Amino acid sequence: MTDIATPESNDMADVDGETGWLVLTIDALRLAIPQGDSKGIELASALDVSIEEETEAGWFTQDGGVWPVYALDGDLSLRSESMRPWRFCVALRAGDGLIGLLCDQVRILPSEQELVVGGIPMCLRNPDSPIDQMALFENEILFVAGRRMLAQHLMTYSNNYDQS
Amino acid sequence: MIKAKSWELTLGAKTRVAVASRHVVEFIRSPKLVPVPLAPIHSAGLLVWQGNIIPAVNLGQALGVGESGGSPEYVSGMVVLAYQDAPGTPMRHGGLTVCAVPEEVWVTDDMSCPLPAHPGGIWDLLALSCFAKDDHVIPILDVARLFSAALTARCRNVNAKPRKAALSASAGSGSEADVTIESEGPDGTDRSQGYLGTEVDGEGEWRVRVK
Repeated sequence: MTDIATPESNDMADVDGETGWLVLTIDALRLAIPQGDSKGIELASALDVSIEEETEAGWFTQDGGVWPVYALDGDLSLRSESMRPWRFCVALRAGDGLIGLLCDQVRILPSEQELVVGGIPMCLRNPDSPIDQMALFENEILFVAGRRMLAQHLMTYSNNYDQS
Repeated sequence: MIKAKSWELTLGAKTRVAVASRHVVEFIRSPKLVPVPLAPIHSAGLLVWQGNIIPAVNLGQALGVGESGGSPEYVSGMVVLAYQDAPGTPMRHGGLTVCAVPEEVWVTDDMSCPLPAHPGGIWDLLALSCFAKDDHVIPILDVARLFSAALTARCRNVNAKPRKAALSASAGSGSEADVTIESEGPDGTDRSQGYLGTEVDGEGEWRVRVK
């Protein structure tokens, strides 16, 4: 981690304690996470960009700490190209710290009842995947990550994760 | 002599299967499949069909059949199959991707033959029986099994790309060293993907280690 810059203003919208969903768009993937898993949403343009060799796509400052940000592809694998433009960074609660995920769009669904979720069919299920459910929303298929599961998935990429 | 109507489904250049006619609901030429992240290798995705989400399986991919191998570019359509997990339970639906339009076939007792060999033992798992036709050996699928967890347990080969992993997340160590997940098969083959621990499939036991 080098040359960590502090954003000029911290305009994170705190969504702590909410019970609805955040629906993230990453390429063609639409991913719903429990709103309570998120600490906030920030513009990707406000991030401190990572140096080229780093696994992290960038860093953000929040709650007195500097936290890593990751970019995933539609298969939830770490994205190799770092220069793709993103619009938002969702700060996820990860243990005692935070971890960021870049995405193209974020939609807030205020009520938990807005999604009728069902389990991923047994024949397609991977017990190690953060995604264990799915939902049909506006005639599109959303994948639903279990509580805190997406942050745990990102932490597997985070060799330099620092919760201090 | 018993004569039963079935549908013959092409999975690859040399691989065909059949299903009893009662299972076949619809053939969709260009299904709009949504890939499932980190799904098993035989996953073709999910599909919105008649207002519900149904799974789609690419059995050719699981079998690794010939040069076409069930690769998505060879898939020309999908057959929607109906099945019940047990008698009296609700009807369920799932899709099976195919490389050609299904063909009707009448099967008789005298066409019966042994199941073909497959190193993963997939036919033992998924086939009810088998018949021979035009130099092809054609297993008859147990459709309920096709859409159960059994195939996943047998394949245990996930689409996930090789990735770095934190030791603390998977191996209970506080080391800061970079680690990679590797797996090694009984023949020494490196898969470079898979689970930590031990996985067993039709080819034997695979040791998956942290390096």
